[in-house]
Amino acid sequence: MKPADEDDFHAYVSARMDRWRRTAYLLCQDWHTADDLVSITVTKLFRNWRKVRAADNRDAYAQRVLSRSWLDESRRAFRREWSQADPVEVGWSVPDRITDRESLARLLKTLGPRQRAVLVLRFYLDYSVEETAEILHISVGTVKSQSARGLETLRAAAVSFGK
Amino acid sequence: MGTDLFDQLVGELPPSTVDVVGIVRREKRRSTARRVTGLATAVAALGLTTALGLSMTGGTGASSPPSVAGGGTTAAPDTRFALVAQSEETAAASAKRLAAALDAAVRKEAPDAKWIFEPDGSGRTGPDGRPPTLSYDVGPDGKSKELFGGGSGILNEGRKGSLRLGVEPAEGVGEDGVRRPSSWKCAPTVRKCTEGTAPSGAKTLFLSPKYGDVQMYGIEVQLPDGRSLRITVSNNFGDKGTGAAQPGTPLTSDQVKAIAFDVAAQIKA
Repeated sequence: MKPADEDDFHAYVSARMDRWRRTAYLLCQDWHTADDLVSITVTKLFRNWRKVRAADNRDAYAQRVLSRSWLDESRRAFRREWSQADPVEVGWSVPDRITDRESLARLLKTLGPRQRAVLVLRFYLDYSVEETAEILHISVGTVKSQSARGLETLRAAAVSFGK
Repeated sequence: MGTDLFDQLVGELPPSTVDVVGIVRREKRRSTARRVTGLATAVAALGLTTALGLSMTGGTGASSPPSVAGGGTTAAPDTRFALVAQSEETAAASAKRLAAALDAAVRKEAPDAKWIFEPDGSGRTGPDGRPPTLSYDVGPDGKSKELFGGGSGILNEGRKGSLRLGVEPAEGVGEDGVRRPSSWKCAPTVRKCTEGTAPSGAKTLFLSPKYGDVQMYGIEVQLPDGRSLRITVSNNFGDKGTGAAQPGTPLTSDQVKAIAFDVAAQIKA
């Protein structure tokens, strides 16, 4: 990689680091794992930087790498998943309205990795149904069905927060 | 919509542990090492080809005596295989053999068990009766992390659940440059974990956590090359959170262990 390309890479990564870390944290709710996911993403982006630069939408490309890394990791790292310090307690059910961060955290923990990714992409990063489907490599119908419950509860949240 | 709430959940960002400069440095070293290794391999291949050519044409060096057909005892064929994924073709072949080894182990340890389609299960699964198709990971630069994984629904003696298989990198720094926690020791935060040894002498970790109605049995077995083979079974049918916990796991903990040992025994370095 030429020095100019490397400078471009560093500038691109540092400008998006916080956003990627926030997104990764929402996916896994653990900062150590979140930073691991971002490290994996940065590594993959560096290896494919020429392709990333040529992409129509670099951010969507990077998000795709991050989201898929999360799905890969969640399939593999069962031990990490089992070692969650704060698993969802038995008997907790999703309330009609999500009005605080604890409820949102619980809601996300009740969801499978892919459904969690759908929620974060759709309602935190504001990707469209089609973009979310493309990023996660799933069908539009799956995105719609998996986000239905989240949409309902997050709409309630938006009302609660006066948005 | 709801973005503020998400931001509240994230809260204040702690100091980052993402070492971008270190990743770039490491990737450059890897790139250089790959070029050097490629050159060395080419030189070695050339040398081997030359030596082979000399041997076959009766050149220099003593030739070994011809074998005597039918003499002595016949050694049992080595059916073991290596997990390689240096290209799409080798990765697909390894994944197929691994899936076949898993299927054979399940049939041996749980003869009545049947693979069943698992709705919303991660990976490629189904239809009923078909063993799981394992996914693999060929690195974007052709250098693979040589990871495999997948699973399926499984039905045994009326109990339905899911079975997952995964091959994880060797402990230490993975091919993706991320340091992983040292394996083969139960971390203090991991509940219901037992360190052990497989009949082959390989190190193992057995875990049996229970969350609410969901019971899991999982075992990791150290493979000859240091990677780990993981088999997990749970009574949660379907993706986590959307699946319904069944009354009992389809396989017992002993069956899960035996399946993992059988599969691991088929893998060589």
